[in-house]
Amino acid sequence: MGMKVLPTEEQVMFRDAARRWTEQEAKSGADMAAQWAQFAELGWLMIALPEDAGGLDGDVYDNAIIAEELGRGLVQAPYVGVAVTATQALLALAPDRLEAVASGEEIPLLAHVEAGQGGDPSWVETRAEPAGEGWVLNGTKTAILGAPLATGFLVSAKTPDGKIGLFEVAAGAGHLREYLYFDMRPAGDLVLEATPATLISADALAAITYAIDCEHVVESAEAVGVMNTAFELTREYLNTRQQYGQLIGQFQALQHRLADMFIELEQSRSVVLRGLDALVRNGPDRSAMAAACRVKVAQAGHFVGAQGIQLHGGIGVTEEYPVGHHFRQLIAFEMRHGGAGAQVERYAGMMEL
Amino acid sequence: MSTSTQDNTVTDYSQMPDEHFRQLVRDFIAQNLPHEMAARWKKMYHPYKPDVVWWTGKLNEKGWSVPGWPVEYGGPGWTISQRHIFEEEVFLAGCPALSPQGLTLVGPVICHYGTQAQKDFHLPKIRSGEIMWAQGFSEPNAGSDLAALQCRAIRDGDHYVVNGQKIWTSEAHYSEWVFMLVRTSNEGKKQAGISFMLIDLSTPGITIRPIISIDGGHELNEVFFDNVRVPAENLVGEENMGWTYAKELLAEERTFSAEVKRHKGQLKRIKQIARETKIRGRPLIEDPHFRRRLAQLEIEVLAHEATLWRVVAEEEAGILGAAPTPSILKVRGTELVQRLGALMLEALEEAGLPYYAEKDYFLSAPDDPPGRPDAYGVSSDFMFRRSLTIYGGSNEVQRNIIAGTLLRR
Repeated sequence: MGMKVLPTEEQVMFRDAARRWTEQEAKSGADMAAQWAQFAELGWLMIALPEDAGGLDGDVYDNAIIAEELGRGLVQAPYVGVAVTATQALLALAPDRLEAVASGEEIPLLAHVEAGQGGDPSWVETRAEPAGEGWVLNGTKTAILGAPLATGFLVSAKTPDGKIGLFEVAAGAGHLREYLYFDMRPAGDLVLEATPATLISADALAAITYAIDCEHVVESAEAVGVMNTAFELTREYLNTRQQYGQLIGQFQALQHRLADMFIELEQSRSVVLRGLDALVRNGPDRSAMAAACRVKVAQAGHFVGAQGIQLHGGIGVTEEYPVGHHFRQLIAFEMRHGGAGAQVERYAGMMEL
Repeated sequence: MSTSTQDNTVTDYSQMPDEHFRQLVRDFIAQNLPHEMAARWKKMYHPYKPDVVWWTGKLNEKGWSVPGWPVEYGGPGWTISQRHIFEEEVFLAGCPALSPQGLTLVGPVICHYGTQAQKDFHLPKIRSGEIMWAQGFSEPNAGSDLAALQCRAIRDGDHYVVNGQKIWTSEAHYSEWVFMLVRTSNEGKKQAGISFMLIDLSTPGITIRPIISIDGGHELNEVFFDNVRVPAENLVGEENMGWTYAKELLAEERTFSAEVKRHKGQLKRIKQIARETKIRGRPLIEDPHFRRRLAQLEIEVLAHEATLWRVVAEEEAGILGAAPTPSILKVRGTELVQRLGALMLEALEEAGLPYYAEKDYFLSAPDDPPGRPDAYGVSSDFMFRRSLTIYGGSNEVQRNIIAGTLLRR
């Protein structure tokens, strides 16, 4: 039962600061670039870096605490993608690059997911070929959250020897097809057609897998924040809305639904702590636990978000009212990395038999 | 810190790392649990009294039979985590399940509220397993609404005269004593007229009738009280305070209805069965559809177990928030037992259909079983565990409790 459960005093301070920032930010209307400068200033981009890489010597727990708070307010800037996924990949493969990330000067994003990958990080169809002093890449990377903000991409590609390497492609070097997710978060696909790239590592699969495991868990923490707000909005609605001459929270059918939403929310919080524990222990069950974490939170988020809308009635499906925005982001979370179904299958392949 | 395993040596467990403690428990089980007993308990679903009494005595010699009791009454001084580790290890190893009514329910109440005479007489016999207890709470018209109970105790000189009926009384047919909630007053709120009483089941006027459950087994009973004269010194604490004592007793055990140990045992057994079941020549465990459903349930168990760890850590840190934690653990824990039971039954396919009468099988397997030997007890356990979501406050009542902490009334 050695799992870390209670936050340290320092983590409580970070959490409170992130909560205040998120609450104020909701009203400020600042754009993502301005938000990013504030992330750097607040130290959130270096929080998990070791001291000798210019960081605050924390770990993914600290990232998760901040991500949950950002999730509560549906903050769109790609905090997890940069401060967790790209940061963990670089920490393993090119730690000298991290000072510029921590300062906010560089905003790298991992471009790894491809159509048909099914959540399996070892499935890569993008090809890398040596060309003169450097390399060129061919393929398409998809669903890159926050892509319009990126200053560069960390692109995985298969090299002629069959290994998966990691390459850097400057923003603007490939063709970035920008779009919005249905939850209105900016994203993009990176189309690579003989695109010049710089080699970071010729054998990067282990580092990429670790980084994505971290993404599974910390994005889950973010989704817990999203879910938490959906739940609180619903609870408040049951405590104020009147029909048939009484608060609708007095109807037992609705009470039991709310109880089930609360159970799912609490299970999600718990499984995130278990996922973080597995990342820090880095034992043989790490990837299985990260997948389990994503599955549990995604399915719980779908339920809590959908029932949040249902218990609100008509107002729940309007653009004007926030509960639907939270539902959208929870569904988007569920669909990333092959979708929760693909992650169940991954877990099924990794579980102890 | 002393780590001696000598009997009667006081061991300080408070600073012992969990993994060290787990090993200590495993070593004890390896040295003391007979193989045939473990084999019997792995396939049983109702307790077998001789094993229970023997194993309780064995644990008592080691000072481990009453983990939840205060140290001054013989408790070992374990942390809450250590208690959970112990529960899991003994369950998965196939140790006889200790009877909870004496050891974890009435024992702590007597420790806190009993008279010196009650403590001196009862506590040693509970610790050693010499006296087995039943719990007389539910009545035909007081199930989830327990405070509506009507079984009456009227003072008559230095005795109470008890009349009424209790129901769903687990293990009453082989218990020596029963602890009861009885009505001693009709004044005021219904909770305010209830007293907590200890009754010797050999007292004249008590009739015990078996209730056979849908698995064909006998664990439950009805108990009838016809002018039963109970010495007044068998009242626990003050008259009309029984409801308060009972509530406190249940709060003490708030994390022990999570059933995680049972889920782990079920997952292990489902996997074993699914390796043996062949569908058109291929082991079921290799079927992707089955594997995904198993994975889905295992993920639910992982999350549920993590909730238990969270709650235990919070309890040990002295944080008891307003969150309705015991209800969450009970609802999810019991529902997972039922879902896992259904998948286990499904994994057997037609081999799950034969009826195995427990009494014919639990001491030794017959030469010619009606089906696969690993199918033993699966359907019966599945049937009996429907009771989990009903007893201890039905899951609907638990959801009322959860909602009650979240909503304005």
